[in-house]
Amino acid sequence: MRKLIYFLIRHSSWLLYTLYAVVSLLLLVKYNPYQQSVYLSSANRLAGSIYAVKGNVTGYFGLQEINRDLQEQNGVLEVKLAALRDYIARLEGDSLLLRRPADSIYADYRFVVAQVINNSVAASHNYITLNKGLRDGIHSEMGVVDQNGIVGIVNAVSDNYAVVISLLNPKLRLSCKVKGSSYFGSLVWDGKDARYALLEEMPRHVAFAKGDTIVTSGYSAVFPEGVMVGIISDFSKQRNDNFYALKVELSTDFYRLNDVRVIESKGQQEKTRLEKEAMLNE
Amino acid sequence: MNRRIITYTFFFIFLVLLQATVLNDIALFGYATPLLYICFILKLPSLMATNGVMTIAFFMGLIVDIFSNTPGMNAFAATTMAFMRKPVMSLVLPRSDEAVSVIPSMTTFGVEHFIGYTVVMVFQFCLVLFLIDAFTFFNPLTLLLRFLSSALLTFALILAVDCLKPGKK
Repeated sequence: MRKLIYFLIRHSSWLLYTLYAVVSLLLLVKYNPYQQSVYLSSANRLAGSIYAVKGNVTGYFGLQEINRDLQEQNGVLEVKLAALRDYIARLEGDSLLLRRPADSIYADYRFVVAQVINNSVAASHNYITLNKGLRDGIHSEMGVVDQNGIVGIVNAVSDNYAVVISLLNPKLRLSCKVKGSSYFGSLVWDGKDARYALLEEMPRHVAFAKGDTIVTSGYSAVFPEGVMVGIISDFSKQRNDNFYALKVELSTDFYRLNDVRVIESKGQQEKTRLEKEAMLNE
Repeated sequence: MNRRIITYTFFFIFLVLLQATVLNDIALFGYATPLLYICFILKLPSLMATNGVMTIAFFMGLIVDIFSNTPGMNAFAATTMAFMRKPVMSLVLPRSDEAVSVIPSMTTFGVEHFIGYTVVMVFQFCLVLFLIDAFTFFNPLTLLLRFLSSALLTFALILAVDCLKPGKK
């Protein structure tokens, strides 16, 4: 017995090292982005408030460009608005037409505006921290977009903060399609350049060209159909030649994210529940 | 002694905050991220017990992990580095009979010994860190570039910090 204790004391640093190593490796392995503990992520209160201060400071750096983007988008929207008004006016003259909400798809979605307080682009798994949380109606699995396109999906939420899995994270796969076609593929980041991502498993017979727009497919209910993702910058054949892999230039500039919108879909929970039930019944 | 503890505490908080708010965002040439916080572990008194160093390293790594959403990664690499500290020291430093605890720096260790100590520690830390990264996501060339450039940058920064603050006895 005494020998055992003596042995333990003599090799205590080995034992302690093993203990710490096991704990950290468990954290590493058990870490699942969708069931992530709030306390071990930057959504916890201390890390969140430090990042909030940081966001207040760095938020000013990119304002000029963001302003310019917003004005450009404003311009585009004004043009669209004018065109729609014109269209409605013309239709209203036709008494046979049934009245219908102009945009019934988007009627199912609600937006929460949030500010990015921490963001990374250089790691191999990137995350974004937002200054809004449960109290503002944010839940996990909600989609996040900014004025240019898709940003990511909400992962962990605390009362006041939320962590978003960035599109620049191989753990996130997004169902996307070429605008105008109905064939979809899966968009994933390859870990190389923050400006590009790959759209994989695109059937070979789909017609597309460089410069075509890639939008969300809307199958996941996280994002509405048709949200801008990027444009095709290059493509190559994949595996057995039946699929293409498209290199997509992302429309979102992850280097200067500031204000984002979190999308809440009214039908999402119902849809997820239904899909789970269907899987169980099988 | 008490003053030293207070200095260390401030140094700890300062380094963690600096790492979380500024250094984690830096990606020089798209690859090199300075991991200056490990400077704290290098600078603990030379004769401090390995168990103590490991405990500090583990929690420091865990806090940095919490900020960068990588639970376990920095904690594991920092603990491993702390575990290797004593063997590395006895490998790099000349054998001497006087066992005085000093704060490792260029003045106390001598320039070449301190550089040797820092190089070995920083490179093995970065190697472990980026190998763990490779487990979750494998991209050999990018990873190698990240490893080498981050290690070099961290090494340079630690030397720069050492020149700024000459080691107090």
